[in-house]
Amino acid sequence: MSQRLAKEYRSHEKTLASDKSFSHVVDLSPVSDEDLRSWKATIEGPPKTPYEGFEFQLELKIPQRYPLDPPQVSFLPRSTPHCNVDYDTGRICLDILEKDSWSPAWDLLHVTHAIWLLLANPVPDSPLDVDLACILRANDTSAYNGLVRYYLKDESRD
Amino acid sequence: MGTSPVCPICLEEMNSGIGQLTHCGHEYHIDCLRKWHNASGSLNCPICRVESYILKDMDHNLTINLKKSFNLHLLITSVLSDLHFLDVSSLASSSDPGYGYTECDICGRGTRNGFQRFIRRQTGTEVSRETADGSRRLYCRACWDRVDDNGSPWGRRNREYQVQHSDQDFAAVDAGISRNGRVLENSANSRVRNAAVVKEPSEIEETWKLLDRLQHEQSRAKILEEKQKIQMHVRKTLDRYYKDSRFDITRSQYTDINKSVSRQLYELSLYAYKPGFVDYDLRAETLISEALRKERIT
Repeated sequence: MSQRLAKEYRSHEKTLASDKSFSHVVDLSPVSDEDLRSWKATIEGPPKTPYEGFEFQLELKIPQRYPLDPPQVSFLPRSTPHCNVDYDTGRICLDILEKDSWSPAWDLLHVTHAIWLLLANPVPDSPLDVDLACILRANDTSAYNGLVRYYLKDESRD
Repeated sequence: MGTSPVCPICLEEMNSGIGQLTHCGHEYHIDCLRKWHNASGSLNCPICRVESYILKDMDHNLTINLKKSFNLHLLITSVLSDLHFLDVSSLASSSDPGYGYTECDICGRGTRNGFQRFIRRQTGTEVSRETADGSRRLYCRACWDRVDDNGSPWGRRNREYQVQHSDQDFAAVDAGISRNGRVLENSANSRVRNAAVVKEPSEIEETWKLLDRLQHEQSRAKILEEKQKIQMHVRKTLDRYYKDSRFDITRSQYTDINKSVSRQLYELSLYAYKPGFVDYDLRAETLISEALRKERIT
C-alpha cells in the first residue's frame, strides 16, 4: 500500500497545479521525499470568515495501515482558534478523521479540503474549545468572529 | 498508463481479482476490500458508505453474501448456474434410490440426497469412486485423502493440497439447502439475526476464508478433471502395450510410465486440456514408446 502514497503525491501535485477549485490549498506535499509518512499542508483562510487573509499550516501523519486507517492531522500548536480545534495542541475534532467514519476511498487532498471547510463551518456540538463553542451556541456570531480575529492577530504579531 | 479502472483503495489498476459490491456497483480489488472490511469491522462500501454485502467475484463469476458466513445459498446458486448440463431441480426431487440417503464408506457420515451430494462434489468435500466390482462408493474428501494411495492421477506424494475437513463443511452445505433440495429463501428472521452479528470481525473473516477456499477448490477440481482427461489418452495407448504379450510390462512399470507420460503431456499442453491444440493420442504414443525404449522393454 505504500505505492499509494507515491501515487497520491503525483496526483495531488497535478491537481493543485491545474485545478482552480483547489486554489485554497497552497501546498500539500511530504515533508521530505525520503519519508512519505509525514506530510505538510498549507491552506488559505476561507473567504468571508474571520480566517480570511491568513494561512494555516497542517501536519499530516500517515499511519502504517493507511488507507485502512485515517491519517492523523493537526494544525500547528497555538495557530488556529476554532471551536473544533484544541488551540494549544492544534488537535482537530472532525468525524472523518476518526476510525469509525473514515473511508479508504478518501485521500489526503480530500482530508485537507474537509479541514478547510471545517474552518468556515464550525460545529459547536463537538467542541475542543469550549469558550468559542459557547459563544457560537449563543448565536453571537460577531463576538465569535471578533474573538477569533483577536487570537489570529495576536499570533501574527509574534 | 493503461486504460483499466483504478482500485479506489490502493489506487493501482484493476486488471484481475476484481470484486463488485452489487448493491451499489462499486468495484475494488477483492484483496483490498477484504482488508478494509477486516480493518473497519463493517461491510460499508468505501465510496458510498452504505452497507453493501453482496460481493460478486468478477474473475470466477461467483456471488457471495458477506453477511451469511455459512449460508452458502447464493454461492451454490451461482456454482450451479455454471453447470448447464445438469438439471438440478429434477435431480433434487428425483425418487431414484441412487440419490437417496448415502454415507461415506470410511467414516459413515451421511449425505441426505443427491442434490447435497452434488454440491459437496462441486465444493470438493465429497468423492465418488467406482470400485472393482462396478458399484459406486462415496467418501468424504478428507477420509479419501487419508486412505487413498492411488486414487489421484499423480499419486499421493505429489498432492500439493489439503482440504480442511470439519463438521462445518457439512453444516455449511446443510444450512443453504432445505429438505426438498430447494435453496432456502432469505427469511426476515435470519436477516435480523445476521444484522445483529455482522459487526463481529471474526464472522466477516470466516466468510472471506470460505470464499477463498471455494475458489481454491473450484480451480483444483478443474485441474484434476483436466489431468484425468489427459490420462485417459495415455491409458488407452498404454493398455494396448500392456495387454500385448510381446511387451512384458510389469504393473509398476505401467504406473510409472503412465505417470511420467501424463505429466509430460500436461506440461506440453501448458497445464490445460486442449484437444484442438495437442494431439494427445499421437503424443502419448511417441512418449510411451520412448519410455519403453528407456526401460529396455522393446
